[in-house]
Amino acid sequence: MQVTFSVNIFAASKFPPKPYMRNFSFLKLACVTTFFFSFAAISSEAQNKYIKLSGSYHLGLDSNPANAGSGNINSGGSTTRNERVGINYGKGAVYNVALGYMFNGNIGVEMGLGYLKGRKLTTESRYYYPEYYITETNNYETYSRMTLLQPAVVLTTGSGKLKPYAKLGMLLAFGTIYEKQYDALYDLSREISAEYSGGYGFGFQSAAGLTLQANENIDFFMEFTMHNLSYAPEKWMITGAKENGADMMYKYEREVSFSDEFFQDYNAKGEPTKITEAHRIHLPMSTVGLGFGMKVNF
Amino acid sequence: MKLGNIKKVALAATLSLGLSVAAQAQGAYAKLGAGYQFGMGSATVTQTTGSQIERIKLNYGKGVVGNLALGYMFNPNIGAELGFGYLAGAKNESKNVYGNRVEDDTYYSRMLLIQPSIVISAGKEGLNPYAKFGLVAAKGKLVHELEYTQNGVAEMEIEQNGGWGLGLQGALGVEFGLSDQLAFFSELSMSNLSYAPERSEVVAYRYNGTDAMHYLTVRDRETVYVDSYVDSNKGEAMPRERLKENVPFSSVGINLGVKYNF
Repeated sequence: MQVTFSVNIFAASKFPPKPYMRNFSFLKLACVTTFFFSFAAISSEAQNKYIKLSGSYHLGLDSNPANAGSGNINSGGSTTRNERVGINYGKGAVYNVALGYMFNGNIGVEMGLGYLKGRKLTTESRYYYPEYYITETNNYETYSRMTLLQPAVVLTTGSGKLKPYAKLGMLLAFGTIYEKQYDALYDLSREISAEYSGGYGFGFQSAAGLTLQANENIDFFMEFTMHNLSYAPEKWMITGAKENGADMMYKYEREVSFSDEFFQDYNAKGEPTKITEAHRIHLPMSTVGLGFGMKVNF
Repeated sequence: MKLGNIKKVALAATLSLGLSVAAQAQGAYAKLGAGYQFGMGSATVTQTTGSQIERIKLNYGKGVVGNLALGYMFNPNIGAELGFGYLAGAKNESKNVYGNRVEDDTYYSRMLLIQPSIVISAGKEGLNPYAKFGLVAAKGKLVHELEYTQNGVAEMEIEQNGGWGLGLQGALGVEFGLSDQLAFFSELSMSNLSYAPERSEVVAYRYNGTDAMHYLTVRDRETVYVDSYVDSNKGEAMPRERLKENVPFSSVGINLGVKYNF
């Protein structure tokens, strides 16, 4: 950092610089130096590059509710039980590699590249029709596969074998969410596969962890990570449709595009004439995770 | 002129030295600050005008937050902090037009926040970077104000409350030491909070300005949110049951304030 005076003191003088004026220049330099060295503690330590490899498991923090129902359906009235199942697409294992650079002993930056293998989430509903002695089952499963980009600022205490550190940065997610619905009633079955794709997830991430120095070049670390993320896909597309095992793709509207604004036409009954657009949705992916890994300094 | 130059030099030296005098790195402290949080939510409501359907983002976590925190640094680098905050949620508004019916909806929150966290500090004098990581618990209410106009004006206010919101929070900040006791701080904070209210109640209902609450049964007025329920008609004298839903409260924001070291 450099300090400059807004007034050129020499310009105000009619006389050439005297010896004490040259001393003033030295004082100015001394002030600048003092000012600069007041930040010296932040910038005096050795710089350091590193690479990290880690794996972590994440649990969902927010979720969309899905309904798992059960009960008896009668023509004269029904009693059904509804149970909430939370769906969070960020839940699962994350494998990470990161490159980092420490500007000094305390502050650095890191760029992480991760792969989220989302856990398969399922719901099951079963309804019994006692008048017909048949059971209807509805099974639903969904999971995500995402690539994560994680630039972050790193802050560490900078000394000792056991060093706490913290990170805060952004999070970008690209990938696909898959889902499958299976319905069966008596001798009828239907299976529909679909996927959300396109678009991206944007959010923030932070972490707090401990680094244990094994030797001069290798550290091991453990960290708690928080992802604040939601995914906004561009489209939903049916990738497979079968009824009683036979392909029935032609019967279904294959693709729905998501947007912030669209126009919907209605028929005389007030029903939408064609559903190919819907308003953009944000699928929850916020999580907290615990991870372990190794860091190599070079 | 000689004296004026020396005064300028003295002022410059004092400023440079003053900035290098840091607030003490250990011991108890108190922080007072305020900031604004931007929503990071995942919920939306639709806004319909004829055949045009528009998406309106809905996030109860955005708004102004005031904070008071008490902390203790065990050493120059590690400490713990307990923060208390109040979120005055910003209003989320939507307007739907269906022929001659116009519906205006307003959603906002009022929440008390409790934020215990671990503090990691560089322990530097002058300009000191730090980071925090911890939990956040929230309690308060969500408000939905509804006004629809069609051959008259109906106004309704619904409050959702009960239970605690839980989540995690983190922050990255910088302290600017002014003296041994006093420092300014500026921080970028992130909150990953999810809240699922336990109940909902119509607290006000007016038609053409006249109170109309007596027209509503208990089932119309009250809803209880649960993890599971049996769908059967329990009559108009019992609250309606519905499955719990998580309301988006996640946010990222900027906080500014002062820190006093004891």
